[in-house]
Amino acid sequence: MRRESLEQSDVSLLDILDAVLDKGVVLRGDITISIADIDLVYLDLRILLTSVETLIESQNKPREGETVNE
Amino acid sequence: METHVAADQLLYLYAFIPTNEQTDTPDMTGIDPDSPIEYISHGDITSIICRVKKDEFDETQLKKNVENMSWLQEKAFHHHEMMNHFHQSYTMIPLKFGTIYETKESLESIVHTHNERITELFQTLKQKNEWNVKIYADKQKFTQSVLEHSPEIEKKKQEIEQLSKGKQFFERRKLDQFVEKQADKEIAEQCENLHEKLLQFSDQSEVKKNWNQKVTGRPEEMCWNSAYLINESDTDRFVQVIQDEKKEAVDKESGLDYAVTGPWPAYHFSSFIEDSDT
Repeated sequence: MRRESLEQSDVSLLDILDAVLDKGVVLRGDITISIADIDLVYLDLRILLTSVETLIESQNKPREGETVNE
Repeated sequence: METHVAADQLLYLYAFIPTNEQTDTPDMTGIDPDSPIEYISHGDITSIICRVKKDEFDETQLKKNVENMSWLQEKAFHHHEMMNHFHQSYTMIPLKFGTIYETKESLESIVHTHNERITELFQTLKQKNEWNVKIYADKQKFTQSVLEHSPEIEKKKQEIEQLSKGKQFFERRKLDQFVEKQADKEIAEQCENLHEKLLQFSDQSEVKKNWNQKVTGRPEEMCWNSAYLINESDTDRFVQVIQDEKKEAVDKESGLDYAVTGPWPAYHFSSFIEDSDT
């Protein structure tokens, strides 16, 4: 019962990534991350954006192929 | 405002807000600590942006940088905090992390093209927040309960006892798989039930993929992950439903744990470009 409260300050990095990354995240490789000085979460997979919403473009249209591996 | 974008810069877009709600000019550092956060007005729609360096945020670099956990952590937190800040003051269409335009013109043309949809979204999102619900299951508790409470399984077990050793092995495996399936079914049913209840208060919802246990770092398995768009006036009731469910789960030691987070900007309900491929 670590996250009883609904305060945003209790939101973990993973919650944030789950919300702010388009289509969530895919993981591969080995990474250890520490979250908010409390949780040490071991990730045996590496974080990768599946669909960076990079609307980088010089023309008027969003670039094709934004969704990778989805 | 001077919005010329230098050749070595890109525009990082945080959000769109209705121009008429904008009260002040922002005085904050952007996702690139060397640049301030700026507003760019396009008629009724205003973009909240920050100029960023190409050698940190262009497509290739960005893809590389997001694999660097400390970079991602710092930038994702910044994005999250800024969004919360603006979300408190404005009706907002939040963009996902890493939404970048090459020039002011390309941003303007997107706003121009999707003007109607963006304006419509302002109406939809007004006075609403996103809430995220994740449910975790202690799988063993569920399989245990299936094993204990199913007469069918008890009978099956006795039948297996009578079989030859070789056959026992395969039949036991089959039984284990059956038990596991039953447990999964029960977990899914409970999650769906809560979801149904929450839908009463939700304007929109999205059921998402569950996170791998190695990612969540929790001993229990994530068995439900969803986002809801909730009217501010319904928030208390929405949260109460989950709190009640949680309390009941604790009292009954059901093996389910509920994690609610919010209020979030409406990240999952802000798509203004029609997805053709999803």
